[in-house]
Parts: sequence; C-alpha cells; structure tokens
Amino acid sequence: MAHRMDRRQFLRVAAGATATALLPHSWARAQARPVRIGFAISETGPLAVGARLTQTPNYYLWRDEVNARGGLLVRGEGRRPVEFVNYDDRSDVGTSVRLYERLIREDRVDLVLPPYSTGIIFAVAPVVSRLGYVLLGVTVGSLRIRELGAENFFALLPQPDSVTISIVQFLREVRERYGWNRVALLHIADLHGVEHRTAILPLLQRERFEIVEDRSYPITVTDLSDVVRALQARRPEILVAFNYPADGPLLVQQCIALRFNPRIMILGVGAFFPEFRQQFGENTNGIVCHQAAWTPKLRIPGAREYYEAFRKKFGRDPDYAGSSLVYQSLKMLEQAVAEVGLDQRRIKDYLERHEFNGPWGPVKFERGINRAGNYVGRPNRLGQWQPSGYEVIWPPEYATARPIIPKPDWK
Amino acid sequence: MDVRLFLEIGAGGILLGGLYALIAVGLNLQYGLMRVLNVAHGEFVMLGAYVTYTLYTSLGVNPLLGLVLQVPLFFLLGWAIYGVVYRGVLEQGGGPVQLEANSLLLSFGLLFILENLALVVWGPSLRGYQYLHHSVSILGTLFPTNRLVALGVALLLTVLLLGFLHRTALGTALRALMQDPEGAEAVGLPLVRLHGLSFGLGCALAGLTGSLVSMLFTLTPSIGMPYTITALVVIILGGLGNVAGSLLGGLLLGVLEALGAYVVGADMRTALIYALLVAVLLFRPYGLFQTRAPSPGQTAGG
Amino acid sequence: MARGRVQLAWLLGLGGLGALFSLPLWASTYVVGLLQALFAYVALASAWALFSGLSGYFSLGSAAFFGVGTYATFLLAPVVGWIPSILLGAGMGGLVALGVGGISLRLKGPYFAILTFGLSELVRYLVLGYEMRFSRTVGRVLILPVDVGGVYLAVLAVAVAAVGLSMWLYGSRYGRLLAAIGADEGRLESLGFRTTGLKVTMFAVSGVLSAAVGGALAPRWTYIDPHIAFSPLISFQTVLMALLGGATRWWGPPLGALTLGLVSEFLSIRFRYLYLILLGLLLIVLVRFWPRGLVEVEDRARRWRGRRLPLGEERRAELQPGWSAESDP
Repeated sequence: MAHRMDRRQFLRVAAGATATALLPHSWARAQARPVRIGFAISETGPLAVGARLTQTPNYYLWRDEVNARGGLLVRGEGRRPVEFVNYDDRSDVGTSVRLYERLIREDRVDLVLPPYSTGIIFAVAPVVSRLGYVLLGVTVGSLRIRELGAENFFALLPQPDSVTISIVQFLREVRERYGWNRVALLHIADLHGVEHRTAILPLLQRERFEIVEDRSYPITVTDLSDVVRALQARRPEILVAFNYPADGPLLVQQCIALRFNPRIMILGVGAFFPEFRQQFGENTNGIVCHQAAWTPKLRIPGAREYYEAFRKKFGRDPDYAGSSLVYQSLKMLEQAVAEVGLDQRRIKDYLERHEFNGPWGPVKFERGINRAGNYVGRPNRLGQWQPSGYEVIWPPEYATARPIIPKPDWK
Repeated sequence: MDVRLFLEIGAGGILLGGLYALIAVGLNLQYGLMRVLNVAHGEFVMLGAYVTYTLYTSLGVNPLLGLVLQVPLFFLLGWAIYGVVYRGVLEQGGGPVQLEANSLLLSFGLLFILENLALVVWGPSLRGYQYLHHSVSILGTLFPTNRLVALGVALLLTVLLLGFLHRTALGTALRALMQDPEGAEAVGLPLVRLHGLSFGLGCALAGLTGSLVSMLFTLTPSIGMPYTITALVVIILGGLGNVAGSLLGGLLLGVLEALGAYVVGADMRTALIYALLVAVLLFRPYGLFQTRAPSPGQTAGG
Repeated sequence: MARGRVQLAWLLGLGGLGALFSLPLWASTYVVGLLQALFAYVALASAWALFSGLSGYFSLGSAAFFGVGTYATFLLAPVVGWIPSILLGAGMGGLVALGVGGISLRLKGPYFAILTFGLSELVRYLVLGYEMRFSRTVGRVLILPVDVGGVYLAVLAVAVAAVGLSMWLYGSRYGRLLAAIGADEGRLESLGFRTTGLKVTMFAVSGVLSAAVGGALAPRWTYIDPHIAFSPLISFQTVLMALLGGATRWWGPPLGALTLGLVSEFLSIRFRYLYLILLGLLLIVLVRFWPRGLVEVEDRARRWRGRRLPLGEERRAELQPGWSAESDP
C-alpha cells in the first residue's frame, strides 16, 4: 500500500485485534455498537441493471469481509460490526435525494456510500455535502463535477480528459508503427458521450489525425445497422466509440454482420463486462476498451485477492473496470476510519492528504477528483480482449500483455 | 450523396420493419377487438426473448424451434391473463371512458409485474448470443442472415394471419367484431371467447417476436417499453384496428427510420419517429391507408 | 345545522392548511421531503384532472409541461431568482399547452392520448437536439440556496392552487360542461354548445400548474438533462395516480397521488425490488373490485350507513354519464 502503516498505527491495530481476540466472540459482538452505513441505490427501474452489476455486490462483499474480521476498526474504539441501512431509489433522482436526507437526518448513519450513475450522484452530492458527510462517488464521469460546489464529494473514475488523452497517446504510437491515420468517431448523445467527444476532438486535431466521420446516436437507439453502413463507406482505419452497455453489442453485431473490421476498434462502457465476452466469444479478440481497464493480472496489491474473493462470493467475474474501484473506495473509507475515526471532517482531510493504492490502482485526489492518472504522469489504462482473456495494454508500465494489432478478422 | 449506400440503408431498414410490423399486428389485434390499449405488450416481447435465450443457451434448443414451441405457450399465457385480469373488468361496463381508464391501469399493473419478475428471474445482466450472425450477399450488398430470417418469419406470419382473418369463419367473426363490437354482440357472437382468443393471439405474436428479437439484440429486463412505443407508432401509421395496415406501417417505419437517421443524423432518429407520429395523427388520423374511420366506435374526431 | 357544518369544514380546512404550511418548522427533514414528493404528485394529478378528469380526453403529456417548467427555472433562476422563474416557467407551460391544445384537441380517445405522448416525446428530443448542436453539452447544473423546506412550501402552494381550482371546477357549470363533453361531445355540439374555448382554456390551466410543479421542484435536482426533465414516467405516474383515485370527484386524484405515493414508499422500503410486482398486483386487484377508483370509498361508506346521496352530489353524478355504469346511451 502506498500509505504505509507506521509503528504507532500498527500497535493500535494490533491492540484492537488482540482485545477482540481475547474476548469471547459473542460478547464482543454484543458490546460493540455497530457502525451504521447508509446508501440508497437503484434496485428497480432502468438504472438497476448497472447498479446491480458494478456497484452493490462490492458493498456486500466488503461488509461481509469486514464483519468476518470482527468488524470495522474505528480509531479509539476498537472493532465495531458494520450494519447497512439501505433503500431503493427506484432510479429516480428526487427519491434518491430524499432518501439520503433520511439516512443522514433520521437514521443518523455514521457513513454514507454513493448511489449509481452520474445524474443521481450529481443531485445527491451537493445535498450530502451540505449536510457535512463525505461521499466517495465512483460511477460518475463528467468534468462538470466542479460546478456542483460539493466540497465533501470525491470522484474516483478517470474523467473524460484523462480517458481521451490515453486514447490519443495510444493511437499516436500505433500510427508511428503502422501509419494508420483515418479515424471515425461515434458517441452516444448524453453527458458521457458528449463530454468524451468534446474532449477528444481537439486532441486528435492537434495530432493531425484525419477525422473521416463523427456521428452520434440517441440513448434510446435500438439498431445501429445504418450507422455501421455509413461508417463503413468512409473506410476508417480506426474506430473510437463512446458508448453504453446496451448499444455496444448492437454496434459489434452489425460490424460482424456487415464485415466492417477497422484495424483498431476502441469501445467504451460495457465492453469490459464478462457478459460481453460470453455473448461474442472469440470475436471480442482485438477489441480495445478505453474505460479504466482492470484485470487481476495487474501487479497491483490486492488485485488478485479481490478477484478471488468476488468470484467465490458471487460465482462470476467482476467487471474489468469500475467494480474493483468501488471495492477500493470502501477500503479507503475503512483505512480513513481506522486512522481518524468517524468524524466526517477528519475523514475528508485524510482522504485529501493521502495517496491510496489497490486493488484498482493509485488514487490521489486533487480538488475532489482522482488525479492519480495525470497527476503522476500515468494516463488512464486501456484494455483489450485477447485469447488469454482481458488484458491491460496501455500505458506500457501497466501492460499485462502486448497489444494485438491489427484487430483480427471477424469469425 | 452515395445512391448505392442510400439504397442499402433503406433495404436494411426493411429488415427491421418486418419485426416492427409483427409486434404492431399483435397489439392492433388486441386493440381492434377489445378497444384495450395494452401498454404491457412490449413486456411479452421481452419475456419471449428471455425464454428463447434460456432454451438456447442452457438446453441447446435451436432459436427457430424455440420460436415455434413458444407460440402455444404464449397463447395460453395471454388467454389466461385475459380470463383472470381483463374479463371481469371489461364486463363491468361503465362506459368507454371508464373502460379506457381501467384497461390502462391494468396494463400498467401487468407491465410492473412482468418487468420486475424478469429482473428477479434472469437478473440484471446483459444477455445475448450469436446465431446466424453472418451475412449473405444479395446483389453485392451484405445482409445479416438472422435479420433476413426475421423478416421472412414476420412476412409469412402476417400473411397467414390475414388469410385466417379473411378466409375462415372464425376470422370473419373476429373481423366483424373489429368493425362493430356492439353489432357483433347483437348477432350473437361469443364475445368472451373471441376476446380471449384475440388477447392470446396478440401475446403469441409478441412472444414470437421476442424469439426473433433475442437472435438480433442484447436483452435486459427493461427492453419492453421501447417495443410498445414502436408498436404504437406503427398502428397509428397503419390505422387502429387495421391489420394489413400494420404490416405496411411497420415496413415503412423501418425504412423511414433508417434513411432519416442517415440523412438528418442518427441523433435525431427518435425525434424523427415522433415527428412522423404527430404528423400522421394530425393529418391522417385513421392511418396512411384509409381516409375514414372504419367504424363509429373508433372515431378520432370529436 | 347545515351552515354550522359548512363553517366547521372551513375551519378544519384552514387549520389543516396552516398545519401544512408550518410543517417545515416542526417536522423532520424526512417527513418534509416525503410530503414534498407526495404534494408534487398531488399537484400534477389534480392539474391533469382539471382538463382530462371530466372531459375524457386522457392526456399523456404532463411531462412536457413539467419539463418546460424545470428548464425555465434552470435557465432563468440565476438571472431573475427562483420564485419569478417558477412564474415565468408556468406562463411558458401555459403557452405550450395553448399550442398543443390548439392542434390536438380535434382528436379523441386513444388518438388524443397517443398524440400528447408523441408531442411530449418530440419536445424531449428536440430539446436534446438543440442542446447537442447549440449548447455543446447535454445537461445543465443549477445550485440554488433553497433547502427542502423552501421547495416544500413552493410545491405545497402549487398543490393547494391545483386542488382548490378543481374543487371549484367540479362544482361549477364549467365542470358539468366538461363532464358532458366526456359523455357525448357530438350531441353537445349539435345542441349548439361551443366547447373548444373551454377545452383549450382548461388544458392551458393544467399546463400552467404542471409547469409550476417542475419549477418548484427544480432546486432538488441540481443536474438535469432532457431525459430527466421530460421523462415519460412523469406522465405515466400522473395518469396512474389520478385514475387510481378516480377522476369523478375533485378529491379523487389527490387521494390517488397520496395513496400511491405512500404505498410505493412503504413497499419499496419493506420489500425492495419485489415492490413493483406487489404494486402491479395491487393495481389489478383494485381495478377489479373498485372500478371507479378510490372515490368508491364514499359510495361504500354511504351504502354502509344506508344514506342517500345529498342532492348536489346526485345531480353531479347524473351529469357525468360517461363515468357511471347506468347512463351509457
């Protein structure tokens, strides 16, 4: 871990652990008041799909692990069991805001965990922040976070600027070796797509890439065959798409059917799901994904352990991007609470001052946004499906495999 | 503009249009006979897709065989839902306004139940498989095989259904009912049985479309609603209660949607569909293919 | 005796209003937040019923007006302040409704419902197209220094206006005229009644109030995009609540909104993701046994006490043939 335990901390942890070990188990449990952690997340409605794939499983994994260790270590109080107070926000912004007020004002929880999706987090963050609570948001991607003025809010995923920088760096390297220069851009017409497209356009132009097509489609799209035909007609060598889980497969299906096979194909959200591999099998080989790539093969402390624990508990793989970061955000809270207790202001200071690592990777906040990427000169990670599974291919210091270039023909 | 590309995109639109037509025909049968707008129609499509998916991926049942197996299953499901849920409410009477209100409430209830049942049974993951996903070349243009199959099935079924409606005694009774519900009852047609039959048929068509959808698209429990909306647009294009109109309307929507998206930009695709819907309602409220209301019960004008 | 009772009702009503308006002073944040959400739907359902409840024109377009109000506040509040922006937004909602009403009220039945739905979706995608092409973004952020109590008061004011208006309307000449439109508009016109003016006016009033709800709620969102502000779920839920309550009485839609809101809250906290399944079952059972909505509670109570309808009520019921089983011609 980037944050090393000093001697004093070690003694404290050890003392807490010994005290717990010496007491009869049930007695210790009965004595320790539980730490109550609250969240409201989409269990029904359109956002339930994403929330239940990427986010909530990690909450339960972490809680069970902590409780199996005898509870959450709170500075000055020893271990206290973790208890969740949670609600369903029904994928509705208004309901979510209301429930967070309830969690903080009525249920008086000790800590809150974030809801799912940019729209809901945007509404909840200022409210939670005003009530003095720290919120570590993972599934939020927009540079407009700063407009919220939510000073107790932290965003973890690489934001559009660092994602697009890594794509363009990778493409520049590819061009040096292969000479491919013709780029087609495709994005979904919502905040996520528009911000990424707005960020990548000047970068590509500055590097003098030729942009042969630049299209968008609505979030409710049900078919992309006409889009693929139009793209195909422009003969791009490189395709970069800023898509969502539901439309990525539409795109790939039509590319296969119409035998549209750009040399480099870079996709976004959803291409990192194990389900994507299940659906398309070996046809996924060579597809690059630009969203915060992660695999258990990364030489990052805790990556392999996290993967094994997740598989053991849920019988499936976590997604190869944000899932491990959700888990890491909980570990960060755990670490902060062990160091400074449950006071929100001190947790906030702690999160701002320290650098964290594992199982997802380095996290260091700068004005509330994780800048470990650009901050220390490391861009967002790109991943690629290969016969050996999902591999990180960029930047080189993280790479778990050499990239497969060009993308193989469709089977 | 590239003429060949334009034609290719239009032809690609027809392939999906067949699917739209099939969904719309089912909804239109239910509406035409019972004057019931079933907003849960798309949920039956979703359910059909999941059943085919499950049969194929866990038991290895060929999706096309699954499709055939599903027809009686969904017919019975629809028939049972009519008997348990709708029949009592339709027989309560209470005038057209109350009937419209209550059938809307009922189908919203069904929608909530089916969508969340699917969420419980199949979970939130994206599901999909590859079947006949390669293309065949027609006149030098590639068309995905599974979409060609979907179009073929859709055309075949709609033609069969039209034949049934026009050439058999039962079909004629159904059509009489669509034209004039009160009159049909007066001449002694067994209303309840015909209603059950039409609701079952509508569900069978939805389930069957679902089988085709599972071959083409990725599934989540929330895919139903967009299909309901597409079906609504199509039956307005083709005329409420007009089965042949739905077939043409579906094909037309497929083509217009694909070409419009190509010309105006794909991001305006949905806007385009709604603009078309609004324009048709305002200027040709009885559908593109007829100028008069088919029966007094269906008047659009006040 | 009768006068005494009327005075008592007024007194109770005023007392109740006083209690509601002073709620942020003494109730917990959660209760205020919950009631704010419930009253927003009370306002939407009552506003919907002002036009659609009696006339039988089922509008599925509440989201369009709501969204216009929300966007008006997001755009104008930083310039003119929050309350003025609600009023301006309400005005715009009214104008949009005049436009929509002018072209769509020629259609009846499912045609009208689908048309209003289509128009509302069209507005959503046109706003989206505009934002993407000209604003170079999709969402808008608004931070207003208004807490939940402030939002609650604004929403409550709109709800009181909507419910008050429908209370008046349902007892007035215009209400009877609307009910007659619902029953048989053709006959009404052949008798020489002009209905267009009344229909368009009520549709516009309904648009004004729905837009005001959007503006009043805006500080709660912080972030909006066209999919949030114009969500068709807003229209569906409004109609669902109004019909569940029963639109034959002025108090049906508010009752439906309160009931469905509270039941959803209870079920979702108690049963998690099973809650929508239970809600669906509940809807089906309710429609089966109380086909006229929750307002049947009144008839049942009367029957139970063996009393006749008071005179005014009886007449009103008579004048709404579209809604009662006996009088379908």
